[in-house]
Amino acid sequence: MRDTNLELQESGWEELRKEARKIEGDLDVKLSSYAKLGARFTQGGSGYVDSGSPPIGSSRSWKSMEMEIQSLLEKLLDINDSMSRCAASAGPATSVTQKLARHRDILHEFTQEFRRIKGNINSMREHAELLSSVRDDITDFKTSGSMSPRMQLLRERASIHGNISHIDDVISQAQATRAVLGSQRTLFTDVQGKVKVLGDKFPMIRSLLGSIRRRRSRDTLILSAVIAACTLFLIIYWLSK
Amino acid sequence: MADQLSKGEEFEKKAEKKLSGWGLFGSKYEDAADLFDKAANCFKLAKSWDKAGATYLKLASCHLKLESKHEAAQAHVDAAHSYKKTNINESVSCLDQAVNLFCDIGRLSMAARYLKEIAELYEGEQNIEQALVYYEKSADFFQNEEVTTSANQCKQKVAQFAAQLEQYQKSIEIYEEIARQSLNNNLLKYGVKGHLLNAGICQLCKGDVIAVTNALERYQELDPTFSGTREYRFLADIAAAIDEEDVAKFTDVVKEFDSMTPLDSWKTTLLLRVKEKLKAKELEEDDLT
Repeated sequence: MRDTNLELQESGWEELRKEARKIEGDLDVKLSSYAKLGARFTQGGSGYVDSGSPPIGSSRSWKSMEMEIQSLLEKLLDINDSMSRCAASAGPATSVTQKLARHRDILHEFTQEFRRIKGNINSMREHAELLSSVRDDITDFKTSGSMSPRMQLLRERASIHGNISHIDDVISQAQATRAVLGSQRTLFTDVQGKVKVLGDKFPMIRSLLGSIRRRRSRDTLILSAVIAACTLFLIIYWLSK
Repeated sequence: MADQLSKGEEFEKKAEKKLSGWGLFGSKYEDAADLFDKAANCFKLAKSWDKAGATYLKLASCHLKLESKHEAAQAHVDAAHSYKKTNINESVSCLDQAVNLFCDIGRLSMAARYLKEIAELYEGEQNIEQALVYYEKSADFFQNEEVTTSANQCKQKVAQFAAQLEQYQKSIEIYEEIARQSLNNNLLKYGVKGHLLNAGICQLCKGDVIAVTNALERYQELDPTFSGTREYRFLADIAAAIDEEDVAKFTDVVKEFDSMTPLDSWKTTLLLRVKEKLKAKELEEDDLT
């Protein structure tokens, strides 16, 4: 009976694991396609040349692929839960636990990657939508932009401003670190003071510790004597009875 | 791996036995705490994160019985770090308990650090409401401890998320406050126009052109050099485009600014909202005519 049950559970486990591996393979392929789609969207957006049909087409395929990946992730999560229940009912086996942990890690990794790519695609799409306009305006703007030297100076200044922002971030980190180090130094100064005071009083402390140790051993002796006396009394009483 | 797992389970059994037993000499909680610590360490080496987290929680219970709140809080933090890999909700609740314990013993700076860590966990999960709440708490605690730099970092996060949740007034106040503080610091005053630009964009999202104009005048008084910057020109031109309800002009202004300084995703999202509103208004006008 138990053997039959175990065999059934093992076969269920293997089937679930096979299905999980298949879905993981599918997810890998689809995530790669999704990333390529994002890259193509980026190129399309930056060029601004084909502003007519490609955004609509890529948007449609992007949405359908996103839904597909989402459903695959949910299915994989369900299968992982089933495998977890199977492993729990089957009993403690180390290889099963390791495989289960590995599958869980893979699912987590896929989820994180999907979320990141989705965020990127959303950013790019919003950017393109904000800057979308008529082709003539783009052509005029490109001409005027490339010709004027003032634009190049402004671009340079924007780069410098970006650098200033980065420097601000680094400086704020340094300030936070300096504050923490300052508080640590204060703490160590206090500790040093306390240790010095302790050192001054060390002979007194040593004698105090000696007294404590003697008192403790005396207490132990007294307790042992009392216990022995009570035990002896009980034995004598029992014998006399 | 397997050896570590079995060793951890052995230590855990010993600790449970010691807890259930009656301690004649010495404290059973101290001994159990030692054994739980060893067990949790073995579970971590075996990469059994759930077991490690659960064991750290038991360790925290032992330390609470011993009235050692600092050690209990530290055990909760270790449990949170273990759960972070498998169960975000459990991790957040552990950090919450650690924060409460640190507040009890008066270690506000550590409480602030772990509140910020909770906020970062929620940010990773893209739960913006909760991330905003915890960043706000963290900023308050850092401010109480006079750690201004970290407080300002948390406040900027609060402002960013508040704008994403369409709480523009709160976002505006925070950016203006940070700009005002930055003006007094020689190192940070060159970043003031960035903060004022963010505040201006939030004003645009509110859709009140007169308020935008008043805000721009106030910013000029705040920072005399702001009126000569491209950020000021950008905001003023957008306000004019909105006043005239001209989507093409709006798009031109944004495109010109973006060609010099690429807009990040946060600014893109907010400006897209402004543009959608402007388009809707224009369509409305067309329908009326």
